[in-house]
This record gives sequence, C-alpha cells and structure tokens, in this order.
Amino acid sequence: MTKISIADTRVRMRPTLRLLQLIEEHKDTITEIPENLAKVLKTNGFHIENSIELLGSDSINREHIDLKLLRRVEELLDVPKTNSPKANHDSEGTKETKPIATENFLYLSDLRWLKWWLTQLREKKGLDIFLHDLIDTCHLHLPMNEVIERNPELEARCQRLREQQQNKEYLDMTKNVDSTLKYVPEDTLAYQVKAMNSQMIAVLQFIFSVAAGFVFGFLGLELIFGGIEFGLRLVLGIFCALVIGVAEMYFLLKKLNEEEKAISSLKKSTEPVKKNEKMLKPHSE
Amino acid sequence: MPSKKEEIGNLLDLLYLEMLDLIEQYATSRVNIEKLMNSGQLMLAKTRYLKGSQTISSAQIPTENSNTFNALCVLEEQKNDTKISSVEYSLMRRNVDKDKEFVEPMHWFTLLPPSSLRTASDHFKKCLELVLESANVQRELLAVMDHIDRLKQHCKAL
Repeated sequence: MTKISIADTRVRMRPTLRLLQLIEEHKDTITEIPENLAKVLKTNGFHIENSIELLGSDSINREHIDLKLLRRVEELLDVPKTNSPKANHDSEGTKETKPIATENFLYLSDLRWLKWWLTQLREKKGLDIFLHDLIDTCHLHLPMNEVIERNPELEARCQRLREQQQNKEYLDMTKNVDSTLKYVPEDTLAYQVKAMNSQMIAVLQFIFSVAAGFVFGFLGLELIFGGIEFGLRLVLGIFCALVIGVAEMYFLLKKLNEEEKAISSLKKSTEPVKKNEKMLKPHSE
Repeated sequence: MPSKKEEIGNLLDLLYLEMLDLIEQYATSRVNIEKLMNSGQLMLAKTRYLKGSQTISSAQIPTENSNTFNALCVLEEQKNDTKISSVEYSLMRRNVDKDKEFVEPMHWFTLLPPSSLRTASDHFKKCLELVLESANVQRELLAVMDHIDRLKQHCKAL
C-alpha cells in the first residue's frame, strides 16, 4: 500500500439538507450565488432562478477577524480557560443529522459567501441563524492522501518467489535430518570429477594435436624430403602447429560453449528438490 | 443582550472560516514540504551515486569529540498582534564566519561541492522555512480552536 501526495488541498464540506432548505426558503434575497453552490443546489433538486448571477470562486472576498473585538468579548465573558473541549466535540457527533446522499461538496469560498448572505439575512429579515450553527452538523472532509493498491499480478509473483525461496531455505536447513533429501547431483564428488574430466580431456586433446602438428612439420617433412635446414624445419613445425592450433581452438571453444549452455539449462530444468516434493509438504508460514 | 449575541455569532462564524482556511494552508504547506523533501533526497542520492557512497555519508557529520560550532539558524519569537495566537516564530540565518565559529556545514562533506549537492541543500533550507511556516499555521489553528471552544461555551450559557 502506497500513499501518493495530496493533489487537492481544499477543505470540503458536505452540506446537510437543512442548510439547502434554508437557502431555498430565503432565495428571494439572493442576487448572486457562487457557481459551485448553485451546482450543489441543482443536483439536489432545488431550483435556481436564471436571473441570479453566478459568482466565480475567486470573486468572494475574505473577511478579516476583528481581533480587538474578539479579545474584548473574551475579556468580558471571562470564561475559565480550563474547559473540556473533548466533551464538546463528542456532543457534536450525537446530534448529527442525516447528510444528503450525493457527493457534492461546498468549498471555503462557498462558505464565505454563505456567511455574507446570512449576515444580510439577519439584517433584513431578523432571522437568528448563524453559519456556525448550520455547519455544526455538516460533514467536514479534510484533504486526504490517496492510497494506491499494489498491482495484484506483482503481489502474486512476489508471493510465489517468496515461497520458492522459503522452500529452498527449509530444504537446506533440513538436509542433515532426512537422508532422502541429501541427493543433490552437484554435491557429489563423482559429478564434479566427471565435469572436470570432460574439460581436461578436451584441453589435453588440444595440446596433443598441436604437438603432433609440430612434430609433423619438424620431423615428418625432414624424413620425407631430407636435407632441410634446422631453422626452416623449426619455422615449418611452428607453422603447422599454428594452423592446427587455430582450427582446434575453434572447435574447443565451440564445445565448451555448448557445454556451458547445457549445464545452465540443466540447472534450470532439474531442480533437485523437485524429486522429493511429492513426499514433502512445502514449507509455508 | 441581542447585540452581544450577534457579535459572538459573527465572531464564531469568522473563526470557523478562519479555521477552515488555516486547515487548507496547513495541508498546502505539508504537501510543499513533501515535494521539497523528495526532490532534496533525490538530489542527495544523485550526488552519492555520482561521487560514491563514501563521500557523502553520516560518518562525516561531526561527533561529540569534534570542535564546537554555533548554529546557523536560530528561531526567534516575535510578538505579532495581527495574529490570533499573537506570537509568531521566525527564522534567523547567520552568515558563515569561521572566526565566530559559524561553520559552513557543506564543508564537512567536501570542499568542492557538486551542483547537485548544492541544490539538495537549497531544497532542504527551503524546507526548513516551510516547516516553520506550517508550525506557525498550526499554532494559529490551535489558537482559533481554543477561541471557538470558549465562545461556544459562553453561547450555551447565554
């Protein structure tokens, strides 16, 4: 499970039905409405007049807190600081009303507009509704990391490899205990001597044929023609040996290469463990 | 006291909006920190890849037995009345000065740092500022929540 970084850092809030109904009730005072809020209203079956102007999310100004007022009010109230905020939050959960079903969210700019609108409503109609009462019962969706699930194919392969590895480890561990497990062809002396022998024979063959080639050039030609100078005999011998050596080298390399291929494919195909697998229950965690 | 109730309600509304705004800011700065950290680490890894892992390693960081030196960055607490928590922390950077024991940390690793290492250190320096910013936002957030709680309690009593 891997988390990816947050793409959308906006705080979202799912509005309650009560909030939407309130807007519906007092929509005669609305002259302009944020675009997103209008969309939310429409998808929940509320009608919006076409004459109402739609606002972009950038056009809503941020109101600043009157800090002096805040401090003065708090001084006046003089609430003891040692309150229990935990209890407060718990009570919020219990009076939660049923949220609307559709996945529509209000963003911060919509809430700012709502605040402004409610202020107007209070002035004009004398209603006693505040935003904090309304959003108390709304669900707040904080920005969250998206979680990517691991690819199941990869997971399956990893699992298989892990099992294989564990099986092998287990067999290695229990090799001493059960003599039937002991048979591994690569471990026996005979196998190794055999492999060494075949290679040694190939090398020895090479040396012999080169030596024979030299002897033919050095002695054979002298015996046939006679009276050849020593230096020329040497050159002829070396030349013959060289020709045979190159040809022999070609075949030797070819053979060794084939052998190597055969060994590596042998290793792949015959896993010694497999022979005993029928009797054994594979080790698993 | 209708006017008082109105005032408190208004303040609560504003505080709630401020809280949400701060949450957004906090999330944004966290995401930025994550991005910067990632690219910084990547740059560090690149340097290690180019120069070999022995050149940049934790073994070069000064131990208890090394010479003493002063910190290049210091946190300062400042009074700021425009903030809700009325306190703001800011970062003070000092210039490198060997005589006053302000050492350039890059020189522990190599005297001629490659460009990727420089970029990495720039990223990490920026990251430090962002961490501070997010800590400030967090303080504000806590202060706002505290205010909300207090005002709410009074609202109930009213």
